[in-house]
Amino acid sequence: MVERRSLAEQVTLLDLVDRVLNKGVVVTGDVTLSVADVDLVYVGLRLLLASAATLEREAAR
Amino acid sequence: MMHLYAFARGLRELEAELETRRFGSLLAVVGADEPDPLQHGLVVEGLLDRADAVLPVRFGERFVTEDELAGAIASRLEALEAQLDHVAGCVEVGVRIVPREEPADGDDGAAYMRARLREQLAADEVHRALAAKARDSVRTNRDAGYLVARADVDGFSQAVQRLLESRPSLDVLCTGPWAPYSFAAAT
Repeated sequence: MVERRSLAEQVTLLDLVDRVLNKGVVVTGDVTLSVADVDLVYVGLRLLLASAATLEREAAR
Repeated sequence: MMHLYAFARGLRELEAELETRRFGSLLAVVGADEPDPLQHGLVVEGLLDRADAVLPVRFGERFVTEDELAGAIASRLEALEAQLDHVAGCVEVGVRIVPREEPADGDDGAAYMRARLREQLAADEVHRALAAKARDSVRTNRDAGYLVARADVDGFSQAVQRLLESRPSLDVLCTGPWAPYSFAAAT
């Protein structure tokens, strides 16, 4: 972990959460809402966001 | 319920609340807890120090039964194994390049566009130099991810440092090493 800190000039919580939510392997399907074969909204089944309060609690711990 | 955190190879130890399931040459790392995104991220980063290869899974992959997990992985096993091969022994280093000074308010449109173009060209040059030192790279606008062999991380961060010093007009923010999220694609 020491090596990790020395490399990072500024690792933000946002960077970590952004990665976790937007990148990485997906092995389950997604839902796409469409009308007349035109995709309107792309809804990921993984869209289970924690509240900001939850994240702040975690950060403080 | 099982929450899927990552796929791994050469796993040396595992935190108490986690379990593994074997599929081909992969170990799927799962847990019974319902983590929030931050907890998920911290578990995956923790695996990075304990395994030869880690392929991170996006937050939110949950399975009710063992069969459901096996079914989701079976059809993608070859692709997952290939991705794990690609990132084996590597970590991801994130590099964000931003101009140090925004164009002044008094600038006209053409001056603004010239300033943005200079910024863009300088950033392109930095990314090309870094990409040449990495096994793979992904770039989206100001952010780039570089897949770097674990042993080369120090050398890579020194290269970033040198580029930063030679380009006073740019701020370069280096983060990591991360689990290789940018090189773990949806399958």
